[in-house]
Amino acid sequence: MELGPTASPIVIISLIVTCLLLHESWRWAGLFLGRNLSIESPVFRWVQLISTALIAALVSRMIFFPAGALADVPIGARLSALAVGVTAFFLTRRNLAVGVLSATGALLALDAWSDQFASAARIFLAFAFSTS
Amino acid sequence: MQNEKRSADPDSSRGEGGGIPAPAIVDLASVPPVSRSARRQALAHGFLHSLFCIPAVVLFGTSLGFGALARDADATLGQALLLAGILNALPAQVLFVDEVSRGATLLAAGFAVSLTAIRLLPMTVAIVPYFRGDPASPWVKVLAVHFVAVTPWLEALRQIPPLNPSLRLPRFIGLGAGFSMVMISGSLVGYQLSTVLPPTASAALLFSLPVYFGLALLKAVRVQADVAAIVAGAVLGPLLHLVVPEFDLLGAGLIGGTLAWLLVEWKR
Repeated sequence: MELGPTASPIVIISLIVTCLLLHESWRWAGLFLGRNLSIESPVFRWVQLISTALIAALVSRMIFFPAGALADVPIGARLSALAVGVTAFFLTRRNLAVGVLSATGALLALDAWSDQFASAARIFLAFAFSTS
Repeated sequence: MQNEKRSADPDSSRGEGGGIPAPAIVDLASVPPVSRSARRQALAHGFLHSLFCIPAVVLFGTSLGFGALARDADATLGQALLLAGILNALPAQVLFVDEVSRGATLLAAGFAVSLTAIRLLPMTVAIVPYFRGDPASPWVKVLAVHFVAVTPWLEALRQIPPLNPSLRLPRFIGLGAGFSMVMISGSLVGYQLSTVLPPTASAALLFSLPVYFGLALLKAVRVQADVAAIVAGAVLGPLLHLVVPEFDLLGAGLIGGTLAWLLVEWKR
């Protein structure tokens, strides 16, 4: 399919229907399955732990196998920045804002630093080869 | 902050005030009735909270990336915002636009997106029981679950359990609608800014999202089993991604969550 100004109303309507049937239906199924569940039941705890583990897996996948611009940042920088954020988070008695901002700041700093390191290495190598 | 104070009010003054009393709740005898104005306040409180909290900043930042991606894929602004509104889950939006820009058919893109939405099923099951006994019609709940996405889900899981059961659904709808608005405005701004944003800034925005998700999970930890589920999921996610990339998240969730749950049951 093609998006853009030329897309016909039929394409847009079928897009809406497809999204409702294939995406929203999972939420409807969750509502149906969860409607008679008690928050004290062990099954509820089980489902909650499954969703917790699932989100943790999503987090770790986004950091180990990122998409887009983040993939250009080296894995070492990503993991170090994460470590900085988690440490700051626990040092400030689990403050979300401090954790997120320090991790992001650390990533920006490490990325800038690794760029400088890389160009310094390149200059050094060029120099070493030119003299040999 | 003033808002925080107002929302605490209905709990202490339930049953009185000018509001029309909520219909009697038959199946949950322990639930104290709250006035309709208290429910409206819970909705407004959730909405305002979601506009001005740190997760909103993170969500806004990451939806800039979606807006930029949508423009790259030749979608019009209207189509990008329509997708954002109807899917209301950033991973699905990004995947859909990505598939379409690679020339996939609507059905192929739809099925790929459907796979990312399987995770919404256990998340919805984990939140819906908090709405039990709410006097709202079932159709309101059908609309409310549209707001189940990672950011509102994490915030709701921290905020709604201590509330009066009749205030949980309005608070969740307020949170969900607010976060949805933040995400849609972020997409709009990202669409317009797409050519200006430097790659380092996009990388930082993309990084802040998993960091926020992870820290919010750690903040919601109450018992040992929660920690076990987080560790198991974080270890299994990338491992399963290498083996069965289509079912990595679902597999890691099922195995990790079950292991953590067995730990609880075993301790009992």
